[in-house]
Amino acid sequence: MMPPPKEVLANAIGVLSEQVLPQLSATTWNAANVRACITLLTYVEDAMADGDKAVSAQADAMRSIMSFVSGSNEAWLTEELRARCGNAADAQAPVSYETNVHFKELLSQVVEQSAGKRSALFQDKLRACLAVINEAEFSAMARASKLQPF
Amino acid sequence: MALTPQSVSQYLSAKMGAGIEVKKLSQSFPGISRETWFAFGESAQGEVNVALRFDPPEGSGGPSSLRAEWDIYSKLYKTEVPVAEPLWYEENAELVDGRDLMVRRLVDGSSTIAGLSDDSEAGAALRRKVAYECIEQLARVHLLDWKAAGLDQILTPPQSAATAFRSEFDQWRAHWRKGRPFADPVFDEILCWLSELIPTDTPRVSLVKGNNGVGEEIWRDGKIVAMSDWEVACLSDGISDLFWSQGTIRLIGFDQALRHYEQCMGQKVSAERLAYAGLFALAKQIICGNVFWYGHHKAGRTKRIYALSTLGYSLDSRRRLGRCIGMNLLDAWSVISGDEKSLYTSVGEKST
Repeated sequence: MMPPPKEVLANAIGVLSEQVLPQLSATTWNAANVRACITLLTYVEDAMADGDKAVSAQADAMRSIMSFVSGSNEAWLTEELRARCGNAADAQAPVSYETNVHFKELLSQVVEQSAGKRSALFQDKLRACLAVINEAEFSAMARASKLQPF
Repeated sequence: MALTPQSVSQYLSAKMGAGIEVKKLSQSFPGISRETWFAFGESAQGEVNVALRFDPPEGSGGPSSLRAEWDIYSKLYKTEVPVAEPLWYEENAELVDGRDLMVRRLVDGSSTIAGLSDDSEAGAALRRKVAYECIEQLARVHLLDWKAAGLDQILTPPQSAATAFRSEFDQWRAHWRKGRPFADPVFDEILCWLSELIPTDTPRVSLVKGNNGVGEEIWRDGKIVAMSDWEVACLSDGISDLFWSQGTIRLIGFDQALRHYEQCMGQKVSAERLAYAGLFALAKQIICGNVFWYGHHKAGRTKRIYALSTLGYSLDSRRRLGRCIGMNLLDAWSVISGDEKSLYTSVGEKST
């Protein structure tokens, strides 16, 4: 039986951090490559632990704002964007990283089109949704983001 | 094709019309946006030491072309700003697989500083010296008469000092819109929010270096002997440079650094300019990390690991900015100030 992926990752990170990196001069490309590997492996470790939770939190927040947009009378809203938001909110697609990519493309359009023209209520809801995305994405990469990236 | 002492010897011999043997060749560290190689050679006339600079195979890691950077070097070499002597620029150079190549004379020094992170009195004194030196040289850049130097022929000048930040912001937002490798509604909203807060009290349009400090300049004995890496230079509000110093300014207390900068410039910096520059710097770094580094990876043009590993840094910056959305400048500044991370100074070698 293969060992659990978490155990494999922890071992690899430990060897790189404790045995390989100390042997290298800090200001060399070899050391930079090793630091980058540690950063990315740490990201994978975090994503394995919290990734699903982060994806779900974002999907829920985005579906909620899409639903609000599709039923709203915001002056900046085009019929086409309203329909697309409605479709996204109603879609039965399983929650996944890929679905979130699609939602974010749509939400980016909403942000850009509505800038400076939003109702106070919509602005509050939109920013609450964006705050969820901001924190959820970070949580899946929190430790890695604190490491030297190269 | 990697550079070798042999290939560079042949190249330099042909270009300089003399037999040159490269004895040592090394790639500078750090340096992700462009590659810089140091060649130490000898000819019958003596030492021939040059730096070769070119884009990585996937293309520029920053918003400007190598040609523009070369032009800046060429203009600045005739001014009081210390830069290495530019020697020549070659398009489609065979030595670097058809990429453009600029060659400048090598200045004796290093991009890193030994002892900078030493936990000792000497280390503290060195950190103070390095931070002050960085500030003084930045002020020299900011006080430069850029029009007389001809830099308005290379860089887009804002219409007035009052529109300096606006003009720079619009350029960066255009980079994001054109090159974003993925949709990021949080960052889009950050840009919308920042665009409403742009201060207009910039007292003068300055040449802004962009990335600066340790890891970017050539240092010798704690002094900058040549300012290098002008790939993010622009004409805008100079205060921005205090926030892209790779942690060099933060080697001393920020208030102390700011007072020294104001003294060098002969002018106070308003709280609004300071706050905006700090917030805007984070946004620019996010755009660099996402568009100019990760963008190449996403498009399959590179497998360099930094294109991926720097995304964590960008995400951390975005999270901090994202938490400020909706605040006024001064409140936002109180959230992000004092929390700048250093990309380079933390990898400074111990002196022992």
